[in-house]
Parts: sequence; structure tokens; C-alpha cells
Amino acid sequence: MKKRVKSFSFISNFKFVIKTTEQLQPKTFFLYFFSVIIGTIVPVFSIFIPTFLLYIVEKNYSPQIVVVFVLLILAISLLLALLDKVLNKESKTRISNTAKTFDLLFAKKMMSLDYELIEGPVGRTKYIKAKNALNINGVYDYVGNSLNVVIQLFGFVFSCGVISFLNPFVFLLIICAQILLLMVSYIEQIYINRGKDRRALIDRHIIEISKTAGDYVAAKDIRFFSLSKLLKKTSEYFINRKKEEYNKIYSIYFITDIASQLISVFITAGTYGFLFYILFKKGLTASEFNFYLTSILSFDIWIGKLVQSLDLLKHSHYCVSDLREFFDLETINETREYKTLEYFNKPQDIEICNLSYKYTGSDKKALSNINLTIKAGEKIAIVGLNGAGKTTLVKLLCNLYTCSCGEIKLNGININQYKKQDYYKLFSAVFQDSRFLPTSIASNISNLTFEETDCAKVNEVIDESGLSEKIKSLKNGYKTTLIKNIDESSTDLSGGEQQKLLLSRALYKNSPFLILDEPTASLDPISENELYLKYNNLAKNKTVIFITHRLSSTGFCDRIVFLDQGEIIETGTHDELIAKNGKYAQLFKLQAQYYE
Amino acid sequence: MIKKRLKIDSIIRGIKLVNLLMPKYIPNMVLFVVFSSIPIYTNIFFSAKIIDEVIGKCRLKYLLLYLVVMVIISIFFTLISKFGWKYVRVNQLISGDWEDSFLNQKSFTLDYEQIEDNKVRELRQQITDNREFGGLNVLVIRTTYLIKSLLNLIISFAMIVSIFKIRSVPSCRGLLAFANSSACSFILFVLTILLAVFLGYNAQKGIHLKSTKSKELSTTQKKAHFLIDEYLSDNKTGKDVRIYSQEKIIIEIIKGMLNNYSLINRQFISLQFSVDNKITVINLILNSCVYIIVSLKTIAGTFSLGVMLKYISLISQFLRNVVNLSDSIVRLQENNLYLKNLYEYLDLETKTDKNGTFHALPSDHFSTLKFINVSFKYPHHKEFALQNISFEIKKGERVAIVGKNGSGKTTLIKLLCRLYDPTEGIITLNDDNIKNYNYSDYLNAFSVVFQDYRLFPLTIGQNISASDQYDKNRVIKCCNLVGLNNFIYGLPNGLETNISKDFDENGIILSGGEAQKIAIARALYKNSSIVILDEPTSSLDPLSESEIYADFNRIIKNKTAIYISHRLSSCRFCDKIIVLDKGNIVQIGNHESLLKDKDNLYYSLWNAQAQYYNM
Repeated sequence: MKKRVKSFSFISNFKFVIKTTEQLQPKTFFLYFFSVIIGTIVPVFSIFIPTFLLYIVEKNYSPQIVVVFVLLILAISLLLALLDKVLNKESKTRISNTAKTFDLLFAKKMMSLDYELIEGPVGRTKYIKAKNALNINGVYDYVGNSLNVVIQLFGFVFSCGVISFLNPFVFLLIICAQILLLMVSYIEQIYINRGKDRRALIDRHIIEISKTAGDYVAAKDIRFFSLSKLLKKTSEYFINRKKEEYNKIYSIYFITDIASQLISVFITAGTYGFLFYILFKKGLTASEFNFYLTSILSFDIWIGKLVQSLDLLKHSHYCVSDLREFFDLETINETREYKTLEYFNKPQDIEICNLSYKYTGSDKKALSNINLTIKAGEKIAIVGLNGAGKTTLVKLLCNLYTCSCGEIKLNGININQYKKQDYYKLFSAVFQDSRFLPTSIASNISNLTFEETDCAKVNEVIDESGLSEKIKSLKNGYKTTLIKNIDESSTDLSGGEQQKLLLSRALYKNSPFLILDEPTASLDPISENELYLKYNNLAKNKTVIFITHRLSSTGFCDRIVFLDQGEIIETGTHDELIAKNGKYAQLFKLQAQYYE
Repeated sequence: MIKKRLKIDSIIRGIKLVNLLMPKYIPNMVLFVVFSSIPIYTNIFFSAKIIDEVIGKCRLKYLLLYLVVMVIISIFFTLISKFGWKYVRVNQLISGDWEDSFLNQKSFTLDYEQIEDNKVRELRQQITDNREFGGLNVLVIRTTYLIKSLLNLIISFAMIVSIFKIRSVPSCRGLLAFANSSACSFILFVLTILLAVFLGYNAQKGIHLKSTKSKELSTTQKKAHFLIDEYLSDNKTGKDVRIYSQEKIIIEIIKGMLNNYSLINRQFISLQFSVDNKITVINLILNSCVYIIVSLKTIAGTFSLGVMLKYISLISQFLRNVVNLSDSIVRLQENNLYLKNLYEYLDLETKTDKNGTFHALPSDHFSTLKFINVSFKYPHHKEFALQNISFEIKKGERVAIVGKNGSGKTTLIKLLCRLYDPTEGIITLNDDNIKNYNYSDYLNAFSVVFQDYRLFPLTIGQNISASDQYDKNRVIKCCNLVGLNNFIYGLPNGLETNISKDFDENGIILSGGEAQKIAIARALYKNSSIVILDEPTSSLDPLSESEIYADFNRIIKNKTAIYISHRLSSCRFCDKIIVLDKGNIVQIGNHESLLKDKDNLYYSLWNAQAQYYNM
């Protein structure tokens, strides 16, 4: 916890937030400031109203004057209350706008980061922290929280002044009592923080169990394997453990609560006692008595609020630090000069030399010593068992990962020397785990806004990919939006249709390299076959890199690269590899024997 | 006017339900609520006494007496209420978990047809999604707050009522006389009641509007953050974002959604503004009226200063509780809607638990299974998913069901497993309609690995055995059979390892292949007479796939097996292959006989794959 505070001070965080906010909405700071001041005056004013009334009654003013006074109080209260509400409304609107800006900045930053970084554990942790920082009481409330602390400090000082004016000794006593209260809450925090992680795990376990148990897909398994008893038992076990854990915590809360209640009751009693003492010594009027009583007791409120605000401030300070740490991650293409990559519509050669790759945190190489040249227009299949490193190799080829050892060359130049965004333009890819955007089908295909999308081209590619029949059956055609969860009127596509949509997207992009990552795993043989024929047709002038563990599907490829445990162990055409009678041939025979 | 009523029976049922799940919750809540209210009034009462003593006779003895009594009462009631509060807090934290667990137990007993029914699913989803807005926990909180505000209202009103008392003080003239007159008291009384009612009414309407809007707000917010919270948070989408330069379109979409959200947020803020303003203004006006009358009456000598102070404190208490009461009533009314969902789910009627006599089906007592002219339509669907299906499976046979995507393979399995009942025709087991068997006995006859199988957040051993007291050796044997033995030995906790890292630091994340193997091991452990595999090897590589198939045939020996697979190679050695197309059986027979018919579906399915192997 302490480490991350070090890098960002309160003041620099304050400046950062103000700067970002002011850029969008000037004068927000003053608005906050007034809002906090008025928000503090309103309750203070209202607690002293009874004192004031006592005073005017005591003075025996004429009834008319009393009425005028009360109406004056009413007018001031109304004015203050309305001012408070207006300022509050205005600053809430601003906070919501600020939130929007930060959300957008965050999304932009996320997308501009290196894929390798964001997929790895370091980037991931920073990303999650920053995302949580954007929640309520996080970044947006930083300024409000800081101002609250300042104002409450003023209130605190004011109360102190009143009390020490009466008697400095009493002031010391009250301060001591307050310090005692703070200590109680500090001890409480230490105890509570102790089992925090353990409780979080139990909590997640309970949620996970109840989620799977209530999942309609799991219902079949629950019925067939009579899992209901075990699930009930397990979830009850964990709920009871959670209950025990929280019982412990709330017993601590109970004790500290009682302790602080007692302390504040004694402060109250002490205050009364002290005022009795003054009363007998100097004599007090009712309004004086009430004024001192209210001032001293409101000291309690000030302190409570101050502690609370400090806590919130600390929390939002951490949030801002987390966010800034994320924003400070280096984006790609920021610092270096790059070779310009002319966008060739023609395929180009790629050469992989001595490539090795290790994931962060893993001590085994995912790929080692890969040497491979992919000629322009060649169709290559990368095959291998699960975990052989196929996907890693493709990610490296796409420059999504940077190779730690060895190099990849495009037209003889190391791909690191190209701007990544330019390099990405060379590739169209169909990954097996893609998701869709909650926008029109056309935009999902073009990855542009609907206005920018070339609709004729969309029609062309959905024809080619075989999706047009489905699109015609939809009322709004390719204007239909996707993802039903987001919008009731949207559509969700079936597995096969999704594959075709992904293919359409790749076709729309029309890049010289086409990458297919196991795109047919869930299709029946005939649709699978149709899709292969399509790939074969559509990829005529392109370089194709095809990842699969179905050896049967490599038919349209010119060359097969067989990966085993991160190494290329065989390459060649299908016939060559069969003639070689190595591992590939073995695996092929294993599958082929059933088809003879 | 708000039409919704407080439905007492719905509230009572909810409270009974809570009492069943968390017996200590409600008594402690009431304890807390009642005992935490009382010190407020004793404090007001005694401070008035003290003030009077201060300006009056100023006797130390009495001053101290009042103070001590006040402090003792305050400590006593606070202690007891805090004690209740402790239990309340704990129960509030786990109430959602209990409710979920309770609902899951209901869902375990539902007919599968209901489970897949969209309406039932939506109902369940709504109950969970809306828990923060309404449900059992909200019911408890709001009911007790209703009690609290009602109690406070009664106490504060009872204490305030003497304000209207008239005591004639002859020496008064003008305003003072008016303030002391019965007319004034009457006007004040009527005004207080009217304004209180008006305040309550306005508060109710406002709170209702606010909570409706705030629900809309929270759903738009969830949607607005979909791309940030889900799409961008998903590691895998990062590839698409970069390769397809989706940055611009994503920002456009997020902007659109966030704008929509801020629009609703702004509406919400202004609504809040207008509602709060109304309440504040009414509050202040009524307060001021009371201030004037009370001050004047005090000047006239009707009240002492202490009493005046008491009334000033009480009137704000009174008004606050008018608002609180309205709030509780509105929330309870709204909560009825959510409770209705809950009760609807709990009251779902199932077919299977209807009484009747069922035949027992001893395990290992299987001879034949027949489909006789079975047709099937999914509920709420127009087209038949299966039509006129007839076939027979004998003990010990290996049967494959093949066909294109969407031809009805999985539906057929669902009928066979009695997850659905046929629309027409019958299915028989040992020549007896399967409906006549005891449901759980029937399910026991099958071990199934579904295409969309699920593993559970339990340990590996528990997942395979479906029990917490399992036969270790048997589990290990099953693991060996699917080739998991090395994997299990490699784990420090072996079979006791949890299958997720999310809730257990020592857990592991399974790869698709490992998970599938565990699912198959689970089916083997069950050891039923009929084994069904629905595309069980789609995420395995060819080596593991062929190993599993080879072993499987060996393992299940003379058991009956039904396979569904896109890999036709695995059907080859089946005794019988059923070819489905658009819900009809188009071919039935063994591999050789089916392959002879070159115009038919099986040949083209086979050829689509085999061509690559016969080059």
C-alpha cells in the first residue's frame, strides 16, 4: 500500500485532477468550493436556530419583532437551502461530465497500449486497479473530498476557539477524549483489515457456486449427476463460514461502538457538568447555556465528519494514484522513430529468424528457435497439439507480441522498425474467441461508423462469406444492431453465423495477410468443408496463415508447419511430410485410419 | 396518485420466509429500531428540564439528577440497540447469499423444460439483478423502518400535542393574545396536520419518481459501461481492437452510450432537485409557523423557555418522521413488485413432483430403448424440431447420431434423457413408457457428457464423484482412463484442488482439454448402463481425442453408448448410425451400408472429411 503513495503526492494528484477537469469544464473548481462552503453553513446555521430563538424570547422583544425575526430566519434558511441545492445540482452534473471524460480517456489509453503489456500480469493488474479507481468515491470525488477536509478543518478550529475561550482546560480534556475515540477506530481498522483477503475469497466462492448452480446450462449436469445435495451443502457451508467471519468482525465493531458511545456520552455529561460549574460561578442565561452546549457538542460532529472525510480523501487519493499509474504506462509508438510502411496491396515476404519467446512469469519457453520464411501469396498451415505454441507464433507474427529473442522481418526489415498501427493494417484475422460490438452489423464488419461504412462493399463481403441470407431475413438488414443484452431490439447470432461475420470482417479489411485461428471448431463437416472452399477461393491473392489441430483441414495449404512443444519439428507439403513418416505422418495416420 | 397498494399478505409471506432463512434477523432488527429511537426523546425531555432549572431555581441537586437520569437511560438503550445492530449487519450481508441458495434449491427441482424457458430464466435474472432495489432484504429493512418512523411519529406527536393547549393569560393584547387564543391553537393544529399530510403526499410522489428514475439510471449505466467493463476488459478482444483498428468506432460507441447516460443522469439530478426543494420549502414553512407561535406563547408566559426548546426540537423530529414514513410506504409498495417476481418463481409448478405411482428402475437393468413415432416441438415454437422419429437401441450397442448443425441431434438426446417430453409418440425403456419410471431412477441409468457441460466450483474429486465423501481410488481410476493421471499427480493437493484460482489461491485454471477430460471422468465415475457423449472432444487435439475414443470403447465394455460427433471417424465402428436432417431420420444403419448410398447425406458428410485423408 505504501509503495504506490510514494510516487504521487496529494498536491500533484490534486493538480492532475483539477487540470483534467478544468480543461473540459472551466470554473468547476470554484463551483465545488462554493458548494462545499454552503453545504457546511446550512447545517451549522440550523443547529443554532433554537439558541437564537431562546435569545430573542429571553430579551422580551415585542411580538412584532419576534415575528420579523422568525421570518428573517425563514428567509435565510430558504435562501441557503436553495443555494445549497442549486450548487449541489450543478456540481453533480459536472461530476457526471467529469466521469464521462475520465471513462473516455481510460478507454483510449487502454486501446493505445501494447497488447503484450495489457495481456501480461503487470499491465492487467494496473488496468484493473485503474478501472476500480473510476468507481464512485474514486477519482471524480477527489476534489470534493479534499475541499470537505479543508472546510471541516475550519469548523473544527471554530469549535476549538469557542471552547478554549470558555476554558482551555476543558478543551484539552475533550481533545484527549477525541484522541481516545480515534485510537479506538484505528485499532478496529487493524483488526478488520486482517482477514480481508480471506473474506474476499469466501465471498467469491459463494458467488461462484450460486452462479453455476443457478445457471441454466448447468441444470442438465446437476440433474444427471445428482449434484443438488452437494451444491446445497457446499454453499451452506461457505455461507456459514462467511457468517462466522462477519460475526467476528461485528463483535469487534460492537465493542468499539460501545466504547465510542460511552466516550461521547461522557463528553456530553462532562459538558453539562462544566456548564453547571460556569452557571454557578458566573451565571448564564438560557440562550448562553444553549449556545455553549451546542457549540461544544457540535465539536463532536466536526471531528466525526473530519475523520470520515479524511478517510474518503485517502481512498480517492489512492484511486487517483492508481489511475495515473495506468495513464503513465508507455503507449506504443510514442518514443521512437519508425520506418514508413507503404501499404502494399500485394502480399509480401515474411522471414522469421531464430525466434524464441517466453511469457512473463513462466520459466518455460513457449517458442524456441523458430526459423521460417513465408513467401508472398503462400498458404501455410500451422498444426500441432494443444499447447504447442501455435497461437503464440501467430501473435508474434501480427506484432501483437514483441519477440524477446530473434527477429521477424517483413521485406527484409525487422518488423519492430515499423509503426505498429501501420503493420497491423497488413493483417486480417479470424480469431476463435472474438466478441462483437453493440452496434450495427455493418459497423461490426467495417469497424467504422455506419456513415463511413462502404455499404456496397459490406453487401459484397456478406455475399462472399455466405451471411447474406441471414442478413436478408432480418428486418433492418445489416443495420440491425448486435448484442441483445444491451438493447432489446438487437439480435444475437448463432455460432456458425458468428464465424461468417468474422470472415466478412476479415474480407472487408482486405489485407494482404489472412490469419485463421481454428475457425471451424464448432461446425458440422459440410459447413466446415464449405468454409474451407471459401477460404481457398477468397484467399487467392493473399498470404494465408491457418492454425488448426484438424489435420484434415490443411488441404488447401501449400505448406504445413508442424509445431511440437514450441519448436518446429517438421515443415513441408502434406505429401512430403507423409513421405518423411515423422510425427505429422503418425498423427495423420491416426486420424486417417478411420476414414480409409 | 400512486395506485399500488401495500399488500399485507405479500409482506407477511416475505417476513415468514426471512424468518425461515435467518431466524435472528427480524427480532434483532426490531430491537435495534425501537431501542435506538427512545434516547432521542428522553434527551429532548431532560434537556428541557435542565434549561428550566437553569433559568429558574437553579438547584444543583435537580440539575445533577436530570443529567444522571438522562445519561443512564441513553447508555442503557444504546447498548441494547447496538447489540441488535450487530446481528442485523451480519444478516444483511448474508441475506442475498441465503436467498440465492434458496432459489437454487428451487431451481434444482424445476422441470428442465422450465429451466430452459426464457420466461423463467428472465424471472430468475430479474430477481437477482434487482436485489439492490427490492426483495427480501429490502422488505425487512423497509418494514422495520416503517415501524421505526411510525413509532417516532407517534411519540413526537404525543409530546407535541400539548402545544395546542390553551391557558388564558389575561394581561395579553394583540399578537400575544392571538397566539394564546383557542382560534390560533386550532389554526396551528389544522395547519400542522394539513402541511404534514401535504408533505407526506409530496414526499411519496417524489420518492416514487426518484426511485423509478434511479433504476433506469443504473441500468443505463451498466449498459454504458459495457464496452469498458466487458469488451475492453476481456483480454482476448485486445487482438481485434488492434488488428482491426477498432479504436475509433469503440470511442464513438462509448461516447454515444455515455451521452445517453448523462442525459438520464441529468434528468435524475433535476428531478431530485425539484423533489427535494418542495420538501425543504414545506418543512421550513411549517417549522417557522411553529417557531412564531411557540415564541409568542413563551413571551406570553404560557410556556417556559425549556418547554419552548423542547417543542422546537420536537417539531423537526415530527416532520422528519413524516417524510420517513412516506418513504417507507413508497419503498414497501415498490418492493411488492419485486416480491411478486420472487413468489412467482417459488410457486412455479413442476410436472415431475406430481403424485402418482412410478416404477422403480433398478440400476443395470436395461435391455432396450425405443423411440416410437416421436415428434417434438419446443414450447412456444411453431416448427417441429423432430418429426416422426422411430428407432431402437439394444443393450450393448454403440450408436452414433450424425447430422449437420441444427438437425436435431441434441434435441433427440434431450428427449431421451427426459429433459423434455415428446409432443407426439412415445419413448420406451424395457418396453415400458419412460414416463412411468421414477424420474431420479431414470436419470440414474444415464451418464452424459453434454456438449455444453459445466464443471462446478468444487474440488476436482468432488466434481468427478459429485459427492464430498468419495472413493478416492475409484476417482483416480477414472482419471487414469481419460489420461488425467499425470495432471493430477502434478498438483500439490491432488484431487483436493479447486478448479478455479478466483476463490482459492491454491486452485488451478483448467485448459479446455483438461476440463473436458474431467467431464468425461465424471461420466465414467457414475457408471450407468447407458453412456451418452455429445461432441465431447471438440476442444481436444487429435491425439487425445483418439486416445479417449479408443479407451472409451474399452472402458465401457458391454455398456450401451450413444455418440454425437462431427468427427465421423468416431462413428465408424458403431453398430448403428442414425443420420438426422432437419429433424427427420434420413438414414439408419451401419457405416458400410450407409456409405453405399452415394446420393445420401451420410456419404456427403463422410466425404467432406474423408477426402482430405484419401489424397
